[in-house]
Amino acid sequence: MTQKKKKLPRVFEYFRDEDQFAGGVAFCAGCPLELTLRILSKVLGRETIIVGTPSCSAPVLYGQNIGTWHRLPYYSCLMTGVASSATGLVRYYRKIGKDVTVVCFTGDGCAADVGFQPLSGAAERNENFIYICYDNEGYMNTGIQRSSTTPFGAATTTTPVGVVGRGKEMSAKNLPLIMAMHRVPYVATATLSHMEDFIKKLLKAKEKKNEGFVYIHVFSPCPVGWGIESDSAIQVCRMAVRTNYFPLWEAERGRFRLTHTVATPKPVTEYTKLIRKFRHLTEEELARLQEEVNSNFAFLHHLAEFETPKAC
Amino acid sequence: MVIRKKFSSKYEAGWSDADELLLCLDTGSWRTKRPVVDKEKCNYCGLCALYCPPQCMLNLEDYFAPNLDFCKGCGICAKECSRGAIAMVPEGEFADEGAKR
Repeated sequence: MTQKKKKLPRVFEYFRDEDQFAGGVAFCAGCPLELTLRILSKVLGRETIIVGTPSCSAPVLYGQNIGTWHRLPYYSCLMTGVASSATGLVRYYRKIGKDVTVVCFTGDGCAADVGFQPLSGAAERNENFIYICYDNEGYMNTGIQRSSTTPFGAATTTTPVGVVGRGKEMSAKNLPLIMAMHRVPYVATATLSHMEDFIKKLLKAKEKKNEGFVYIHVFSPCPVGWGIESDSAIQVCRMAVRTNYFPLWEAERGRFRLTHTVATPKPVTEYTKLIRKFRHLTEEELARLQEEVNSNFAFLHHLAEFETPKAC
Repeated sequence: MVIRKKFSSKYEAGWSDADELLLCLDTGSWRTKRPVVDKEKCNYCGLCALYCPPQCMLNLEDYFAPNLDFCKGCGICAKECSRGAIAMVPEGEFADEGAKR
């Protein structure tokens, strides 16, 4: 039987470099964080320095005793100092004339809560580095506590569901929108189910970091904390995009553009039924969540429409 | 268990010249279910290799197969395969192969 040689899809051509991580690293099975890091090292290449904090990514990025799990240089600092430390690194490498990509890789707890002040400061100073926040909507490493990006109604260990509690009472902070309002060269949201979109945004980030601050918000479901099966993390990512719960967009100096539009958005119940942290929600609470999703998307849509001139 | 060994297999990541200080976990031992690829059904779309979190799907030029040294058995490849070419088979059925590895 003669077989025609099958062709690999085009998305693999974006992988310029080899995987810089060891084959087996200590991330939970099915965690999209591991995929984010491996894609990052494949796309951005070896000339990358990661700045990180104590978080889910820390056990792997730090190394253990005198060994290491990957070949990228890593600068570890406290949650309150990640953007400031990256500023110092960038300025040092600019002084010695070496072209490197400094990437801050932190969770939503650092980006939205603990380390928000240096992040906002670095964005305002327009420092030349990439800040990647993987948003798992809580402090997953320390035991699934709520953070300010935890959505309304989500059950965590500090917002438990019981006789009194009904999950988180407040709405989530829309961090990527806040960062876009700093009018930095590039802000984008990405998720792993839309891989080509994510890779293109990483490449664009590498280019745009020469102009200034770049922020990428990666939606990253946590199989343990959210109560999803280990095989359905990518499915949850995809459903979050299809329900407009997590719209994919990018903003260049405040000019918004939706990179992926959903023709007929699904109701948010299609997303929440996949996830155990939402299973206690009643009809009214789901309606409120849907209302939040709708208003967030409408706001974003207005921004995108407003900022895109029809003529050019 | 942390394995400290000199990497020599071509399936290791980019640092096959790495010395002993590069750590590597035996994540293959975490697995409770093993992905088994049906070569006939596979149309080489590469979705499994793209979405595999440990990036351990090997490109065998005609189909993809998991590197069982590192596969954690999460099942994302089987879920994302649009043709249903990957089945998650419980590890117990491969108990006889234990001596080979």
